[in-house]
Amino acid sequence: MAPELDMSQYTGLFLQEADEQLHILEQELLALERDPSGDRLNTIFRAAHTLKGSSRAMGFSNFAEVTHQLENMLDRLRAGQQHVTTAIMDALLRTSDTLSTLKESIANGKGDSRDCTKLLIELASLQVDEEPEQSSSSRSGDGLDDLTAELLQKVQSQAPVFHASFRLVKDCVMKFARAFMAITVVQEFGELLVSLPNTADIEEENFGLEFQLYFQSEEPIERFIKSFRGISEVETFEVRPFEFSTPAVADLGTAVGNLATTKSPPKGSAPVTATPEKKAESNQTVRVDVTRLDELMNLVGELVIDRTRLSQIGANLAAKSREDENIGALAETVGHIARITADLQDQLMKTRMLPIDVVFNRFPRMVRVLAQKIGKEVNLVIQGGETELDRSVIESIGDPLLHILRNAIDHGLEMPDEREAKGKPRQGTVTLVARHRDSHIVIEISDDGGGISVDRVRAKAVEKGMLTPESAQKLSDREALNLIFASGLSTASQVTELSGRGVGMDIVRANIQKLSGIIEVDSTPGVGSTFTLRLPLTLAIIRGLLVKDAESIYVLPLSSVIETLKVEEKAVQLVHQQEAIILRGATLPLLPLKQVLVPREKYTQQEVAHRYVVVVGIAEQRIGIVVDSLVGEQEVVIKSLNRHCGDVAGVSGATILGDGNVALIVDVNGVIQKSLRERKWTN
Amino acid sequence: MSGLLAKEEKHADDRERVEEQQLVVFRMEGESFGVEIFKVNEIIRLQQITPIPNSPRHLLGLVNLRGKTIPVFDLRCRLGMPLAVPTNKSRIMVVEAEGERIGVVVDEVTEVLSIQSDEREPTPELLSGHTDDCVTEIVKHDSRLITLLDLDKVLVA
Repeated sequence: MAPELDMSQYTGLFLQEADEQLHILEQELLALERDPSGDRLNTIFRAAHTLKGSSRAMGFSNFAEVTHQLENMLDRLRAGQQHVTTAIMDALLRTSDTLSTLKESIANGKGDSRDCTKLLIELASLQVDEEPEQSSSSRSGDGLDDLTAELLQKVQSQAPVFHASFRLVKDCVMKFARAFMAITVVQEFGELLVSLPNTADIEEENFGLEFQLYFQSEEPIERFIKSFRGISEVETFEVRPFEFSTPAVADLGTAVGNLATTKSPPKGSAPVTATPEKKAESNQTVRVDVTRLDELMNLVGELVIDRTRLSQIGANLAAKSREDENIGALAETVGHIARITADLQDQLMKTRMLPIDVVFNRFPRMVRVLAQKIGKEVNLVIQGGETELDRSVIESIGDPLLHILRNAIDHGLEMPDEREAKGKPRQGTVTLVARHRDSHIVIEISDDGGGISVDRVRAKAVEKGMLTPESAQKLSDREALNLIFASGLSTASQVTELSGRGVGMDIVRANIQKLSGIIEVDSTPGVGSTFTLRLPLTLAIIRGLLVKDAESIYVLPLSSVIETLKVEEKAVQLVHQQEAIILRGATLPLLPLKQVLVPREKYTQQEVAHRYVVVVGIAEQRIGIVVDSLVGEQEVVIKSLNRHCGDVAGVSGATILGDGNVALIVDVNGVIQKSLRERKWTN
Repeated sequence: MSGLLAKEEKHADDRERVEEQQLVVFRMEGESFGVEIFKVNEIIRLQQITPIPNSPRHLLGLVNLRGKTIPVFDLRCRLGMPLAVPTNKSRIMVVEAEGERIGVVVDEVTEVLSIQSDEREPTPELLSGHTDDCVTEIVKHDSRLITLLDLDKVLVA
């Protein structure tokens, strides 16, 4: 395989890992503010460490440098040398942001060359001791006794120990950076044991022009010499093997005189007990490319089809020769295969599922920033983050949710003082709840803010010329509320940077509909608002209602089907030359499917005494789709239409039925829109 | 015919290298058509095609190709021929067009033919018709005439 191909492969892996670790980093950092426990710090530290390691391995030195600084900061927090303050928190979060930006830049093929000096300086400057640090003071002066002791303590393996001393050029402007690069080299090929001055001092540029590093490595010394040579602004450097003199072990006090000048080659075995490095916890997961899962899904789909055919063939054979003993065995085997295939499909679906936490986890951060910016106090409560849904839905649900959340905070919640005056707690609460209901996921976003004033929505709609004052008054409160999803309508009195421009809720609704979902709003003035989203668990497999019309089988997504009816021919009435029926007191317009999905061959409708009507709904609209007959209910795997088919109005995709034939999936929303458009023209 | 021969000689003059090429040959309306073999993925029996409403006439519909749905086009429609009645010799030729697999229905696939690249020649002007945008060359092989189809152009319609 070509080397550059390999590299890009690793970049992908690196990015995936970085994604994961950055995610952990951010989550845990946010949690840290509330609960600065040691465990949490350890988790964060591990994430930072992993990031450092992998970015360094990939040669993203800038990324590695930032993570290294982060790691140092965290190390201090972990060791209790410093405590978490808001300033530190901010810096840590900014670091996490910067890393994300760098990661994006790498993902876009632009490398990690962004200048992060400011952040690095900030991080370094925050690493100030709250109390005088004992270890550094004890190492002041010559400090070689302690050095040996420290080295002995830190030596972890049998690898030889080296000593490197550097002298920077006189007018070196980035002492820290140079020293840091040297440390980076060391850590790349080995383990840094001790640095003089200590790393904290190096980071604060608390040293003259010289610094020394003691490290362990299995690599030959030439490798270091070569790498150190690449560091600019270094006047001279010297690397040599370092040896503990045996008496040093026996008697630490006397052995240190010529320690720094020892020139003898390292002995194979350092006189220390080797403590094997703690291995990272083994991971019980594997990363799989989604396209591979899709392929697998296709294969299972084929299996399902063949299974159906197999049982058909078995039935045919059985009808022919009842005597054959193999027939029974065949039926049994087919039954077994059927069960296995069903399980397989089920398991595969589960593999594609992700907890909605993946999306939700982005929000605490956003809420924190937003609340700070606009001076509100917000408590974000997240429930049901473990609720699982298909990747395809996860990917497209983030933005609409984010938008609703922003709205809730920006417009929904009142300012703290105002809340106090109303007798509410200063801190507003926004709740984000996800749960499964039937084969759907329901997400509720509610706030305990001022609620939406229905009258203001009405007034606004009239003002924008969307409705006449009379028709606005005729709307029920619920209908009026849902006007906020119409485009160009925002009830926010002020346009802010974040929301209130009147674009937004309509896009939110459009996005939700694209996912075959439904969004509704409920609000009580003074108490708060609740947005409810109902979404299918997956976009790859849907439950469909199979209907027959003009000799073809169509699939209607069950998510938009409300009920099916058998309507007597005489119950059908004409309104504006359009057919309609009265269903439980409400007028239900009828729409023959043939009228929208016009069959190519001329098809003559037989005289029938009744019609089959499928009542479908998108948001508040209800319409009865008339079909020739109902076939049944089935899970279908959605296949998108080939590019060569062009855009077919009223069809959202295709699927393969049990008999191996292809059936089209009806785009209910598209059908309704198309019929509305055509009606407008004819009227 | 003499004009044709003259053209061939002229064509033979500016030829540089002769290569062997393979064509999938199929028949429609008594005419032999050829498609370069590397464009053809596979040839399957005619199976039930699900029509797509509101789609262009030359798009016959979708078929199930081992768990994938692929669109099937009517080549006759594109070539200005009358619609055929499917027979048990009818086949769907699965080809790769612009990175995606599609099917075209043909009356009968007869053979895979090895030709020399110098047997290819531009369509004689007198023979070119309204399909000349997708039929730019013909092949003369052992005194047989085969119309060479440029599938990419056929499907752009």
